[in-house]
Amino acid sequence: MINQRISRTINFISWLGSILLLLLFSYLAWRGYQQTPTADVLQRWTLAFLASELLLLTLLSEVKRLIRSLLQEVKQSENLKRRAQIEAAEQLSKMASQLPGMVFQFLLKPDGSNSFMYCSEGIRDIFNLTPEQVKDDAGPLFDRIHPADTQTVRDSIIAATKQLTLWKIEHRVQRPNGDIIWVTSRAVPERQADGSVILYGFASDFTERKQVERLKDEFVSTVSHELRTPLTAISGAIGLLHGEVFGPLPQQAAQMAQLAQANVKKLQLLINDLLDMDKLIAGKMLFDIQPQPLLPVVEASLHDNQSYAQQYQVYYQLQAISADMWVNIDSMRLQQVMANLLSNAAKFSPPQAVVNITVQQQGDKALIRVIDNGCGISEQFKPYIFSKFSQADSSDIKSKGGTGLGLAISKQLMSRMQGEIGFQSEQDKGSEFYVLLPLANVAELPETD
Amino acid sequence: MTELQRIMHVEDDPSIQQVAKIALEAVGGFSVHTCGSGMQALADYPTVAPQLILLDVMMPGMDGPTTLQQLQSRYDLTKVPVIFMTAKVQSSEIASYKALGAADVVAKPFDPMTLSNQIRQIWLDFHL
Repeated sequence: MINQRISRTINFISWLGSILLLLLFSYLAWRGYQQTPTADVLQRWTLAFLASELLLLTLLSEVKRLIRSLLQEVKQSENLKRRAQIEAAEQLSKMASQLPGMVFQFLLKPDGSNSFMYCSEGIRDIFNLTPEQVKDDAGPLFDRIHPADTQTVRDSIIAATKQLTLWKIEHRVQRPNGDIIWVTSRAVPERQADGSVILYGFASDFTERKQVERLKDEFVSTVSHELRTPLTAISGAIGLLHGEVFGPLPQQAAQMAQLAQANVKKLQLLINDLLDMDKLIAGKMLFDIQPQPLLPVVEASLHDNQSYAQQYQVYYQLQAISADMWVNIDSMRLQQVMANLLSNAAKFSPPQAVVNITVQQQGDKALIRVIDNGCGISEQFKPYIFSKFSQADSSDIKSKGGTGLGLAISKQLMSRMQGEIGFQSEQDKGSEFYVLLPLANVAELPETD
Repeated sequence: MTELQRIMHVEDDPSIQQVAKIALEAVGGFSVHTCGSGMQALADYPTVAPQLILLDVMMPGMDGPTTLQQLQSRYDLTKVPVIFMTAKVQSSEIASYKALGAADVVAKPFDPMTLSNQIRQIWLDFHL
C-alpha cells in the first residue's frame, strides 16, 4: 500500500520534472536559436535536455530505492518487535498456565458489555471453559457462578470499577457436572481513556481450604460440646466431694478435691473460650444490643471480678469522670471484655497493686481505660497481643493461667459492638488497655420519667 | 404456697443424672425422680406429679423443647415451672426458651452446692 503510494508520488515527480525540463530546455534552445540560428545550437540543447532528463530519472530512481529500503527496515523492525511481543505473551501464557488458578484481564465497557481480553488456561480447571469462549463475551463465565452468588459478584465488580478500589470476593461456582467449588478472586481496576475499565486479576479454587476450615470449625464445635457433658459430671462430682456432702474429707483428700475443682474451672474457661471463638468465626454469636447507661455495666464487671483480683492481692479503683454516658451494647458481652481486661491486669500486677479503671467521654465516644503497673508487654509480643492463642511466654500458661484466647475474643466482640479495643504498654512499667464505644444517639434513648 | 419437694429431672447422661440427684437430694433435701428421655418423662409425669421439672435441652430422640411442648399439650403445667438445663446460655437463646414456656434456664456445668438454692429461688419467683 505504502509502496504503491511512494511509486505514484515518484512517478508524478518524474513526469512533472520531465515536463519542466522540457519547457526549460525548449525555452533555452529557442533563445539560443534566436541569437545563433544554426542546427548545431538545437542539437546541443536537445542533448543537454536528454542528459538532464537522464540525471533526473536516475536521481528519482535512487530516492525511490532509498525510501523503499528505509521502509523495509522499519517493517522488519516492526515485525521483530511484534514477534518479540508474541514470544513474551506466549512465555507469560506458559507461566500463567502453571499457576494454580486463572490470570485475567477483564474489560468492562461503558455500555456494560464485558469480555476477557486475556485469560489464562486456568479457566478450564475453575469454570470448565476455554479462554476463547470468554474472549468476546464474559457471559459464559457468569453463567457458571452459583445463582445465589451471581448478583453479589456483579455488584462487587460494579462497585470496584466505579470507585477504582481493589476487587476481592469469595464465591461459589457451579460446574456443568453439578459440583460446587469455592473460588476466591482479586483484581485491580484501571480506567481507560474511552471510559472502559480493565480489571487485572487472579482467581483460584480454594474449595479444599474451605473444606478444611469447615472441618476444623466443626471439630472444635463438636469437641467443645462433647467435652461439656463429661465436664458437667466431673465438675458436679468434685463439687459434691469438696462441699463435703458425703462427710468431711481427710485434709490431703480435701486439698486434692480443691485442686481438681480449680482445674475443672480452668478447663471450663478454655471450652467456653473455644466455643465463643467458634461462634464468632462462624458468625453464630447472637448479640442483644440495646442503648443503656455504661457505668452500671462497668461497675458490675468490677464487682464480678473483685474476688479474682483478691487472689493476687490486687485492688480495683474506679474513677467515673463522665458518669451518665449511654452506649449501644450487649451488656453481657461488654462484661466479658471487661472481665478479660480486669483479670489480665490483676494477673500481671505485683501484690498490693492498684488497677485504675477510668470511664470518660472522648468526643462522641465513651472511653474505658484499665491501667496497671504490672510487668508490661514486650515489643516483640505487641503485634500478636490480639491473635488467637497468644501468650507472651508459653510458661505464662502455667504461671498465670488463661487460654490465650481472651483478647482475641475481646477484639471480635468489640468489633461486633462497633467499638474498638487497644493498648499501650512499656515493659516493666505497666499497661493500659482501652475500650472505645460510640455514644448512643440521644433520640434512640428510652424515655425516662 | 406449698413447699417444693418433688422434682422431675429429665437428662440422658447417667453421670449428670447421678450428680444432680445427689446435689438436689443431699444438699437441697428434695425428692428427685430421674427420667432418661423425653418419652419417659411423658410416661412418668402422671404418676410422679412433679412440682417442678428440670429439663435437659440436647437429648437424643426427643429434645428438651419438644418434650416441653408434648408435656404442655398433654398436661396442665400452669403451676409446674419447667427449667431448662443447657450449656447454650446466649441471651437470645434464654429468651427463646422462655418464649417456649420455660420458667428459667440453668447453665451447665452447674455448681452442685448452689444448684438447690438456685432452683428454690426460681420456684419462689414463679409463685410470686
